[in-house]
Amino acid sequence: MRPDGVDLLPRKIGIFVDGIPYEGEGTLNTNGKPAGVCSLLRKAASGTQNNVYVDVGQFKIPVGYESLASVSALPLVERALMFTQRDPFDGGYGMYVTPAFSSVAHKGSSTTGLTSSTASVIGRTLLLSRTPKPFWAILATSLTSFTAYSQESAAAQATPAFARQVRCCRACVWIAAFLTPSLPTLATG
Amino acid sequence: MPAYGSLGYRFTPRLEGAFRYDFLNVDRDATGDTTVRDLIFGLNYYIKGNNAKVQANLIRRNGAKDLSGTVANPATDIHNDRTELRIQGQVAF
Repeated sequence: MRPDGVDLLPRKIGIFVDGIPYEGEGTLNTNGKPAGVCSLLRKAASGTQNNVYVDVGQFKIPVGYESLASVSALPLVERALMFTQRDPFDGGYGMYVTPAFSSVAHKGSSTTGLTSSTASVIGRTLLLSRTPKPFWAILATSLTSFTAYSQESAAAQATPAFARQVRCCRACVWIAAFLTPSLPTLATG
Repeated sequence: MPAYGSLGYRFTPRLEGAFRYDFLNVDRDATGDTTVRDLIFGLNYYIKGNNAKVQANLIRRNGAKDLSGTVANPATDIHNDRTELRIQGQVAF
């Protein structure tokens, strides 16, 4: 359940075209309106290093070990502050679009006093694969995602520095995409 | 700018010590900005892995004042310094 009290129910469908399975995953809220769509393109041969898919929807923020690890497996009772207080969704959920930036209104959290109620835009870019990944590929993707995630200040978006950082972000994504045979898969749980 | 670092060590297969330094500055250049630092010492006893365990955390939190001004402002400054002891039992099935 999201912090705003909306239940999300996963739904999956899949089709085969010329031997290639296409899987789709939709998310519905209690009102029956689509809240997110995940499309998956996977080659027929399992274990290939060229699996590429695009996810669009609501996911855990793909930054850091504690963000992606199951809460039941954490060595400490709570996740770090950057996940519990800085997350504008207050629950580890966010939205990102590959490869373009997405805009998400910041909800703020006046109860904790740790975040202001200023509107902000969050951009995330990520390329994913379901195959095993080297550590440095995980690091590169995490840094890229974090750089995008840090662009949260509404005032900063109007500055040339913000534009430079966006370009840097995109460049990092494409460099990582070309240099790594595979990139991290988002964990769930 | 947030940052954290964690360190854990298993003294025995069932007993684990953990430590985390946690830092958060929301860095919005706005009234109400604050900085929080947590020092967390943890002790975990695994009865059956993560399916049955007991965790104890000793947390020392230091919260700084509003960073947007150089003068203390009681209206916006946040002082949440505190020490907490959290004990959690977990059973997953």
